[in-house]
Amino acid sequence: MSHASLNLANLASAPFGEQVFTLRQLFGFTKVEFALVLDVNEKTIRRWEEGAIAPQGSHRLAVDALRNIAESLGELFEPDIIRVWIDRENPALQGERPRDFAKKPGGIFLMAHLLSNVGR
Amino acid sequence: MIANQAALHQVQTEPVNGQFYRYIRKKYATMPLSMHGAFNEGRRYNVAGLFGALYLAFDCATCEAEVSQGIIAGLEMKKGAFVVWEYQVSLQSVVRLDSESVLQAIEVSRADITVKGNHWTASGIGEPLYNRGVEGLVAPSAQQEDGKCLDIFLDHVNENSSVEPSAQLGTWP
Repeated sequence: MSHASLNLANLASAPFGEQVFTLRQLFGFTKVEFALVLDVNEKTIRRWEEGAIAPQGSHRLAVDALRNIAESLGELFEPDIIRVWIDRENPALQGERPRDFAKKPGGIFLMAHLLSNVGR
Repeated sequence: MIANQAALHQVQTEPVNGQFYRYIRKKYATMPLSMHGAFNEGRRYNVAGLFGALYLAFDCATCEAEVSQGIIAGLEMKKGAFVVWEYQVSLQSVVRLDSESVLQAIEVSRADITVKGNHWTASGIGEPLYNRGVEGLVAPSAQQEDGKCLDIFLDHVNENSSVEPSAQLGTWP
């Protein structure tokens, strides 16, 4: 799936498996990397994406925060610029790239917080 | 740098009237008086979770520079991502931090309050001014050379003052 084809505007209404797959693709994570970000194992990521099970509790909150990030980015940037944003060192994130910052404890939630308050 | 707290309680206020501008993200465009972003995040002259402020600019160029900072800095925005709002403002008691004499009185410099990415000195001015009950402050923009911002403590705007969103001028970029 290319970035240009990611539909971020209607992500919340998509089936959960599709949401998880789209969010992983957006950040360019492998299943193994995404499992590390969300503190689950690779098999769980696969089952989420297949729609066999849905994230619960803190995992659900983390996926919701990722979706909020995706929705904000979709409102602010064109798809090709989103790719740049994700892979570019960001002074507001201690100089780290967002895709790396997402792996830090609380990183997803801080990014969602900062993006949700842009122009608000 | 910590501003002189005693001086902040005595520094002169003055009226401010005129047209001001704000760029609001499209999804929030129907809430031109919202201070949610400032309250949640804490911007230059307010403290997150304690009190909010309505951040306006004297001109649209300053709005563009101010809204293009932080976590989204340096990248081309999506066409129409922001709505441009115009405000008619009439305030009675505003502290002019764009005045050298005021800055001297409170013992800070323009450089101290325009450090990019660091609001420490500025919020140390905003909080005592808010607690004093002033309606707002004018400050140099930290993002736009020669730009100025009007930061309004909406909950302190008195009955003889007004802050009216007057028109949506279009979208940006």
